[in-house]
Amino acid sequence: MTLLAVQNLQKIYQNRFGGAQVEALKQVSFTVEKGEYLAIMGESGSGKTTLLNILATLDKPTRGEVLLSGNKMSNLKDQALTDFRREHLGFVFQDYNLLDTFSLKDNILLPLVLARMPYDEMIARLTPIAAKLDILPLLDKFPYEVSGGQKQRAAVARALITHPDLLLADEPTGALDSKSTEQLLKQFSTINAEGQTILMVTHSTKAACHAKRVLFIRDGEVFHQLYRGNLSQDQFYNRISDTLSVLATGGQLYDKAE
Amino acid sequence: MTKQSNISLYAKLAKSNLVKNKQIYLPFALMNIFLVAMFLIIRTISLDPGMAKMSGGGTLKMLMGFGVGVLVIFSAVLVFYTNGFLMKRRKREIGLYNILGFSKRHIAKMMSIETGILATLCTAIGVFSGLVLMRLMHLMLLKLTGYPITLGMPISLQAMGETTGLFFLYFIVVTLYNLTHITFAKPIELVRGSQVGEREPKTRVLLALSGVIALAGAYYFAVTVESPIQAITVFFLAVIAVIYGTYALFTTGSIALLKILRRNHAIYYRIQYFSVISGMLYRMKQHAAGLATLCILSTMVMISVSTTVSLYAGLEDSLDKNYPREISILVNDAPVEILRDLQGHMTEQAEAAGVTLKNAVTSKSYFLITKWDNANRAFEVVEDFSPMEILPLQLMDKVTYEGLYGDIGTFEKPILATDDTRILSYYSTEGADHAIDVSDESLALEKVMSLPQNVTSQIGVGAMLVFADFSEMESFYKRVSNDPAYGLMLSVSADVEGSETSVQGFSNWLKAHEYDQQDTYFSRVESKAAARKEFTDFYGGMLFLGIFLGLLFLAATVIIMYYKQITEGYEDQSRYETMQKVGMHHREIKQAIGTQTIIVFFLPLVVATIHIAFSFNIVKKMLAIFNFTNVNLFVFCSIATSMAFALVYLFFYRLTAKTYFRLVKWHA
Repeated sequence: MTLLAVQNLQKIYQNRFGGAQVEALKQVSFTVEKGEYLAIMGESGSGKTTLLNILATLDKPTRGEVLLSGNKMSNLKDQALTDFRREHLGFVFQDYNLLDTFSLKDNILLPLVLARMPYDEMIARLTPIAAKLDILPLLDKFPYEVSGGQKQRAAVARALITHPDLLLADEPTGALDSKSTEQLLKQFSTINAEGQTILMVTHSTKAACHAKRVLFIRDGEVFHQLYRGNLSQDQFYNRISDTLSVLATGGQLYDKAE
Repeated sequence: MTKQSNISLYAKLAKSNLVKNKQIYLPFALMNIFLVAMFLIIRTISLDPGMAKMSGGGTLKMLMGFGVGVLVIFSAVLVFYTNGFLMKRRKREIGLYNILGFSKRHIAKMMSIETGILATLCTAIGVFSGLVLMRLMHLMLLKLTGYPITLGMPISLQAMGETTGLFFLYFIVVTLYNLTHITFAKPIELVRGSQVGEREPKTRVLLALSGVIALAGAYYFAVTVESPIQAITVFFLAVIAVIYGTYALFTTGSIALLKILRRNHAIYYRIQYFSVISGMLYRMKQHAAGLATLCILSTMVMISVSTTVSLYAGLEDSLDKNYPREISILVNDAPVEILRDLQGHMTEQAEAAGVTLKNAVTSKSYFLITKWDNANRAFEVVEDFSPMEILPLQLMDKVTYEGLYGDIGTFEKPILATDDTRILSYYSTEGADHAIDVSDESLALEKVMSLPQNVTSQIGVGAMLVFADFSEMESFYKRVSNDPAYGLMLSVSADVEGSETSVQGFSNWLKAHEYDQQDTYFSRVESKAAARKEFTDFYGGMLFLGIFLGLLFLAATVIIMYYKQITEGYEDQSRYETMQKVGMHHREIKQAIGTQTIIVFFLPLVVATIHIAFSFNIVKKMLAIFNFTNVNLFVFCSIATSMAFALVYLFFYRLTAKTYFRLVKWHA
């Protein structure tokens, strides 16, 4: 079942004084099936963060349509959009975006508090998710007291606690050391195996190779797509690297070699 | 690069920094301009040579001098405190300058130029505004104190010089402080500075307990104090205790309360309280001091304005109490026979001056300095003046009493009149047949009653003994008093009718022609008109000062509120952005901000009102020293002042809440 459908997305940023126009996204179209684990790769300035913001309803496209479970995002306005975002989407940012005035527990519960859920129900949801992400003993601590990896896992818990249809992640391993990165990516794979649809934007090949499908974006367009299929992680890593090299050199390298 | 272009680079940077940060520098500049103007005005007035020459001018000069002193300290504190807010916001910017290659020395040069520009602008505009406003203020002062309005605007170069010098000094000191701070900080600390989180505050039981004790103690003593003179000492101690208690309780009590609320899941995990409670808990340590300061300032504004307004409004009332007739001649410590001579003397002088005397009345009374011994239920005549304990006991005869206070009825044995609750409670538990013990002398009483409404006395009368005839009073006095002299206080008073000049002439005449027939008795002349002038000068001056300081404290309160909110707004920007991304509506944010702002703004006001309520008794007693006993007027003035203050407060609260919301609002 198609969970997410992106159709002919275009985003133009207009300079305030009517000057230069920046076309961040040209013509992006793709679909995401339920239960998929998709990575979107690209250099800085390729438009991937813009794309993610639009998917997360944090920004509106200039042209084109985004449909989640068949619902057009453009039909929703203001409060309805905010509610929709809260109920159907979960996101993880690169810099965690945890609130420093709340304990980890309260940070994770925030979306449920916004949904006016009773306390007992909230705790019932919190405990298994926290256990799975290995942060159960840390719940009463504050962000300043825990490591980057632990903070990110709390952010993931916050994203998952609403049982979202789609989990969006923007460079989730960007601020983490290699050990924490590995741990987080393993956990992403686990929750995907349990049925959670994940869409991750990243420029790290290591992160992307954990996904099942990778989209490559360059200059606001989808350039290429790779399916993992039966490849091992290392093999997938190499294929992705190759594609990236082509992306970077515009194919000249291989031409010259010949 | 030449030195010339170096300086112009710094100047350009300094200027652009100020403009870029105008949201925080503009209020700072406005506040300084206000302070400069206020200082110039009050300094000029205090230096005005014309004032010293006028009667009562000495008191006025002293009052203004006091105002200047308060302003010097107050401005210093305010400039320093608001500088803290400014620097907090700029730390990151300065850290970046440092990292990008601006050495600490360059930064120092740049900041010095910034300060130079600010100082020059603020003092120049402030002095100018002060000169313009001065005319207004001077008019107000003169209207209040009843002086004839002088011509010409008093421009005092000395005051201008002092004002400029003082504020430049403040700016220099503050800049040096900032530079020292920056010099010793690592650039990376500066950049991260504004994001470093505070730890969650601990509950400090000891501080809370001591605060409660201080406050409870102050309240208790303020409510139970009896004598006006006792009231003064108690007041100053109580003020210190209340200040300490307020700070202690704001710091600890608020944290304790918030933690209790947080533990209550039913309340805490609701969106309108969720972010507010945790946010406030997080901030409490730094904000408690600010809130307590606002509370104290509010209390001071309300008390200083309500008391000075009451005194001024009740002026005629006080005069009537203190001076039952227009002119009095008083002789202390003379034999009773002098009274006839005194009356004759006054009538003669009246004829000579061409005025008519009306409603003449004489008085014969004694004053005993006593102490109420609660253990032995007796009055004890004391020699030394320990102000905490004394109870002035006035003895007077029936004729005197009725001349001053009206009919008292017939009686044989003496009547005791008092409002002292200890004495009254003692006598109400005894049988109908009372007796009063005064230093081993026992005196049977007719009855015990309250003091008359319009009791007159300079130091306040604690109790009064009214005797049926003079000789009985005289012999009683001689028995109980250790005074070798007569001790008798005589006076002859009358209203004077005639043209204003002749009435004035009469009192001057009396003063010039002192009653000193036997050159042994000390007599003095009291004139209600002269007293009115003095009172008007003094109370008018006090009212001016009260309003002046009230305005000042109000301005300070408003500025501090604004800065706190703006600082919080900046700090909260990223938090609210995250919360909006996670799914918080604008409506819910407005609600949360509303709740928070109300608590932050009105908590100090509410506590200030509680302080005022408990201070009512002691302030009332102190006002009695000024012979102000019109309780209803005081209540009215207090309520009116509080309401006016609350309204201004409310206005500024809405203004800052709007600014705060604008800062944290975020749109997709």
